Amino acid sequence: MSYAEYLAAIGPEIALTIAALLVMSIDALWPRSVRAIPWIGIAGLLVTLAMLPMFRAERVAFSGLLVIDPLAVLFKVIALISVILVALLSISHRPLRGFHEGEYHTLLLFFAVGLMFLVGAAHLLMIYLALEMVSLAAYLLTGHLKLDPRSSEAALKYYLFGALCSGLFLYGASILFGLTGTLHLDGIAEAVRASGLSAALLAALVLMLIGLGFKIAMVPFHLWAPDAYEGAPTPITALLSVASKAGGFAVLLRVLAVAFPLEALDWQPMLWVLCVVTMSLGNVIAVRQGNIKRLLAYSSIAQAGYVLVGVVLMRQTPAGLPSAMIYLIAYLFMNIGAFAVVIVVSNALGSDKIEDYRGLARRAPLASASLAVFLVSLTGIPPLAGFIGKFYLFAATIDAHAYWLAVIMGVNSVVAAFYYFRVVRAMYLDAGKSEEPIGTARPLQVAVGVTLLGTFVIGVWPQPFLLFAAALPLGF
Amino acid sequence: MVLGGFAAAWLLRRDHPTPLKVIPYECGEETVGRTWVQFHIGYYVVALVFVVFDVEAVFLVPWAVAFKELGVAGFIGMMIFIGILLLGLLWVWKKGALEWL
Amino acid sequence: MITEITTTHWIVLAAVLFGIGLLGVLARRNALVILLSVELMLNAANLVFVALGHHLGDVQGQVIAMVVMAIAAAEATVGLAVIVLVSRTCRTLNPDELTELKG
Repeated sequence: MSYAEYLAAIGPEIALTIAALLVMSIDALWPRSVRAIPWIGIAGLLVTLAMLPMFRAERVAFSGLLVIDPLAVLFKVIALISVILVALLSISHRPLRGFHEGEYHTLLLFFAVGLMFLVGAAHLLMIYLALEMVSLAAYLLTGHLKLDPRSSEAALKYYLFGALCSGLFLYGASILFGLTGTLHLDGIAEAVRASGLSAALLAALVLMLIGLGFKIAMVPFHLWAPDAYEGAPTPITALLSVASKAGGFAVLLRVLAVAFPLEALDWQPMLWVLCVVTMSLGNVIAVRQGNIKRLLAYSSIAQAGYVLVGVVLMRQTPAGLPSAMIYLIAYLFMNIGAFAVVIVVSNALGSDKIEDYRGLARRAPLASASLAVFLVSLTGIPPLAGFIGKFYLFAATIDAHAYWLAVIMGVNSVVAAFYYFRVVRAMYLDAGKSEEPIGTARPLQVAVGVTLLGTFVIGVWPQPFLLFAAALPLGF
Repeated sequence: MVLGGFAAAWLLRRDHPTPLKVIPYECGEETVGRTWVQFHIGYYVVALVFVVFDVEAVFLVPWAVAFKELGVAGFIGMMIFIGILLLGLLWVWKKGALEWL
Repeated sequence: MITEITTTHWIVLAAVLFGIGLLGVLARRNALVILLSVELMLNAANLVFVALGHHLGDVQGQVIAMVVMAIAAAEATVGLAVIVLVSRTCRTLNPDELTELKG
């Protein structure tokens, strides 16, 4: 393979890197044009998104470090859309306005670059490298509000937990290297098939699950999530809960599906337990949260549990992987949408407390209605995206005869409905202290509009998404 | 075993803390002022920047060793790498992190 | 008596280093020390890579170790930056004493 072919394989990544370097140079050289920086960043992301269809031909690049396959392309689309929406949210988030915006958007773009490499990585070193790139940008973005002790505290807790988990992941990778003599996922699979189960292999799997479980905030490696989500600037909370989680799922899917063949090591029971614990604990703790960001943090832990259902069943039924993907896409729109409305409210009230959402329906009818739609969708009520996602997850559990999983998921949905509707009730039924109307900045209107559209379209007309997800080959 | 060793050493050792022995450094200058002084924040920034750029040199050495085999493509690749590093340095410079205290 | 240092010795040394690092992370209550301990864990993994690469006659092990070193330096830099930030805004480096965020 020649260098030109290498470069052709990662065209979108190169374009996005150039955009990031451009934003960085503009920030350094022309500080006056700072108002244009977010828009340049968004333009770069849009160009990259537009380039993706041209670079979707399946291939293996850089001697097997990276693969371009339908799964990677789908995850790149998810990553780019969520980063674009987050960039829109950041423009109007009050604490971020005029506060080192160049630095912020540069980091956001590098985060996106790391994510694009992460979802295509097929070599454990490449996975580690991309994982670190995403995490380092995320730590700095979490602590971006330097003057706010809560932001710094969130960054420190996130960092310490993340550094530990990345260390564990790397040690797991080194064990696998010792067992198999390679870090290529398919090479590992071959060697593992030949050698069979051993204690060291199990240890490696557990260590890697910890590293990736951290990224998707899987219980019991979720401890950082509520604090980091609450202290981070709200657009970054949306980023951590959607983009970074999607990247974690991409790697988890790839590592489990490619590197650990079931006949050598049955990881399904272990993941089954983690999945059940993740959704149950997330939902139960979310019930008593008084801060909307913290509530959404625990709810997003639970949502990751739902996606894990599809991952657990990936090998038992062909419906497993597509259902997880559909749920992730639905989750992208409804969760970012919910955070967009949280930003609208916090811009006006300077508060994220649920008690301050009382009587919001009168002050901001459109924003309240949107938030209600997103929360109803997160609950999983038709005709919205969340319903379609849950429907296919249930279908997958029935198909795989995993009835207990279906029952547990059903009970969890009921618990979740309780706390989502608490917010809706506060907005619509409780009387507020003030009647003063709340305005919404233009970029936020766009973001809410796009996410609403996504939530409705997937809910009403899911066929195209289903066809695309069903076309994903199981072995990638 | 280990504890026995410690105990034996504790029993056998001579304990005469002379003023000269209890100062933090047994040789060299006595420290001036409090040892826990606050360093200027500028030191930290310079140190952080140094660590990053320092470690990137790790990639330059193997490249230099295999320079001939890698050929033009390797040269261009490394120039892009160094170019991005330089851009980073420029950013640090323009942001004023290199201003000497 | 040990007459020769074999790959097994390196692996055991790495495991011990990793254990010390893990213990440090879990037991110590100062962000800076936790950072040091994490670095120890990364270096333990590095040692495994280099030793096994040598054992297998595979230069990949050393390449991996070099890349990991660069990543670890970047990680340490970000970590130190965050720690400096926290020590200025919160006046403590004990994660347990940082209780602004609670639910």
